[in-house]
Amino acid sequence: MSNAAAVTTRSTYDAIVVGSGISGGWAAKELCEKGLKVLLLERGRDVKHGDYPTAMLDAWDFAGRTRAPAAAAARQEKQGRTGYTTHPASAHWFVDDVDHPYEEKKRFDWMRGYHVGGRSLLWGRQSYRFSDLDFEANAKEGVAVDWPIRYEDVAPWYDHVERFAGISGQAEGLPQLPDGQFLPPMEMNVLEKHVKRSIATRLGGRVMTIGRAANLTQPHLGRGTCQYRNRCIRGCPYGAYFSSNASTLPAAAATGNLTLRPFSVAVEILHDAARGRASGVRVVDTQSLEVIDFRARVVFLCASAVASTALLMNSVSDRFPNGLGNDSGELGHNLMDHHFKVGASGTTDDFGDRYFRGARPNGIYIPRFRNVDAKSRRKDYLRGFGYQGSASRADWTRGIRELSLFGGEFKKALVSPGPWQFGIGSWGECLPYHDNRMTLDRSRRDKWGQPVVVFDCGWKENELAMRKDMQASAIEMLEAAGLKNIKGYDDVVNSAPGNCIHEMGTARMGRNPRTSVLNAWNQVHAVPNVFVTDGACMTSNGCVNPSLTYMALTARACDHAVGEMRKLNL
Amino acid sequence: MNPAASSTDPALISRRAALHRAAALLGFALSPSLVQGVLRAQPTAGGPRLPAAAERALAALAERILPRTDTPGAADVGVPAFIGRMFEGFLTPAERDRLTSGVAALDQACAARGGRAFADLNGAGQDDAIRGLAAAQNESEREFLRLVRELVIVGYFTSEQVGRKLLRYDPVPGRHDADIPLAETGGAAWNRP
Repeated sequence: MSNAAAVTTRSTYDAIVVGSGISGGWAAKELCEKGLKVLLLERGRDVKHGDYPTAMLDAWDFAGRTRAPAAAAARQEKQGRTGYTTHPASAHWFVDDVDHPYEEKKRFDWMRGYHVGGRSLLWGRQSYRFSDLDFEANAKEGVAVDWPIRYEDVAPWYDHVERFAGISGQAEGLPQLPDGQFLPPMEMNVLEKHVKRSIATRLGGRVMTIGRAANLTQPHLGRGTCQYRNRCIRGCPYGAYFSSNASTLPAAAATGNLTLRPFSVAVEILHDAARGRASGVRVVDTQSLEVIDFRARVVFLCASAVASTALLMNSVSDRFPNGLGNDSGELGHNLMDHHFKVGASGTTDDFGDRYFRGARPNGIYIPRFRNVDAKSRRKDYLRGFGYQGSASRADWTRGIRELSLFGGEFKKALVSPGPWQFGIGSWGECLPYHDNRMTLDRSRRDKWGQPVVVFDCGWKENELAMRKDMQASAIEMLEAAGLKNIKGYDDVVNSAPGNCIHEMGTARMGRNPRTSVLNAWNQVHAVPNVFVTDGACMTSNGCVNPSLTYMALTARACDHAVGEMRKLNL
Repeated sequence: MNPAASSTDPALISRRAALHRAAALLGFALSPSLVQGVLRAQPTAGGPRLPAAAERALAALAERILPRTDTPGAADVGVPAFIGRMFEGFLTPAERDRLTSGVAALDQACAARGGRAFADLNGAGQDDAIRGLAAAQNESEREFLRLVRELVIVGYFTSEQVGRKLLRYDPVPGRHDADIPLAETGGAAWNRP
């Protein structure tokens, strides 16, 4: 894109990390703490911990109360597809779709936060470990390629990141959902406890546990305890949930080894063909429009599954005409996300005199129970799903749909909490399909001259068959709990790929350079000083929320990188 | 939005002040660009104004749905003004159309029966008209009522008076008690966070 004469070369670092979200924050912390001079590139603006402008605002502080302004919503049409992202309480954490375009051959919801901290500020904070059920699945079933690692390779790194991040949760001893280094669990309310007992008793010991969340239930490493406001998506002034801004970036900065550079779009990984190594990263400064080359011994791509892969695709040379490290042709393929928005809800007339105090920013979790052993084997689909949900009392919005009710008594009733209700939604694994993919459209450029990403990705038979069971099993559990007004739902239209914001898999790890992009240490096979440790690296997607796994794989890869640098292999 | 105009807009100034007050309470500073970004997302004006006839009818509807009793009614907490603001800046074109054409149809139906617009009927007459909408065969009438109810109920329960006084307001609970007697809140629901 750039005129070579206009490129300036700046200082040399030991490591460059691209992206400051969950993975990039971890890479920066680990590499800085191991003594490396790190340049952390972030394409968006800086956000210091505490720079959370809406954190203390109430509903009445927003002109449209529950609604986003029509004009702003129009500029975030795609970002608004989740239904919760573009309210002014959190809209500033999501990109402007007009300035950051992409294309869809089929609907794909690409939710992005371009600022320091990235999506670590707005993530759902649910934190679960993958197990060998996940790492072995591809090999056992002959699907895609085998993961080059197993649970025992990652387990110590899960320990490592959990101890720092602070994950509250309850140990359950389940092989398909390994326990971790937990802070004390949050507590279930009366209806949740009732459902938990019911499904354990009536459905053969099926487990329901409190969500494992990166929300602190006690002070932790200088960060405060959760205040139970449930406004996490606005940024937490108490630092009570894990974000790069509150957690990893301050730790990295404290070493004196971190240079954080906001407003810096990485546009190319520079490749030294003679050495077979990357030599650095080309950056466009979005404020000065200067094009700058930064040099380093190792490069960590943590820009997100799609953005890291787009950067590799955009790094073309004689050696890599199809994108850096793309000897296999798999770069951009095997795009995955979880499919969800399917489940059931129900109500009860019981517990009318019970209530709770505090808005718990966490729900319950029902770990996967299908295809976990011979007894639970399904003939109609591979893999499985978990459920997240919660019980609460209906709020005043229940009055909207009761068209024939109005007047003084109606008003009075709405001031009180309504009946207890319980809802669960299921998160299902999707298989890695070669033809679910992203590409670049080089004929269309964004503001910074970069080609736009094109998505071509959709659910297939396995996911659709699984969804039937996801709904039916939800209804079965609510029936087992004796709930009333049970309603199943399956909103497959709005569970488009991307909507779950767990997109992954576009530069998969594998054992064979001919069929994968990364090796067992997240190194690009043919360019070993380039590491990709965000969601792009995933070989399959399990059914649990993936961020904790990105943290663990990142920390593991950093340890490997520094070891190889010390041995002068990198 | 014109930046020169925005700096003197009283509504914007007060929101900016609220943001900085919130920040000061916590002992951190807000960067000017962030505050600008958030405030810019809140329009001070925008689309067409709600026609006066619709404004009258909707104010009357709001007060029948949530009337003043021993606690404030819709008008007491500014629901009619809220509906006007929503119309100008927050509803979709389809919703705006549903609102204006729904009011027109309602006024027409009331006039056909008794010669008077909805707002000019007595309380019992207005209640009958609302029941008529709720039971209408015509889906567009029910959809109109549903939208009105959404605006009225959201406008009422997200107002500062109701949020702080009628509901239980506790913006920083500081703890989670998973099971308390409802009596501890006096039977009222928590204000939504």
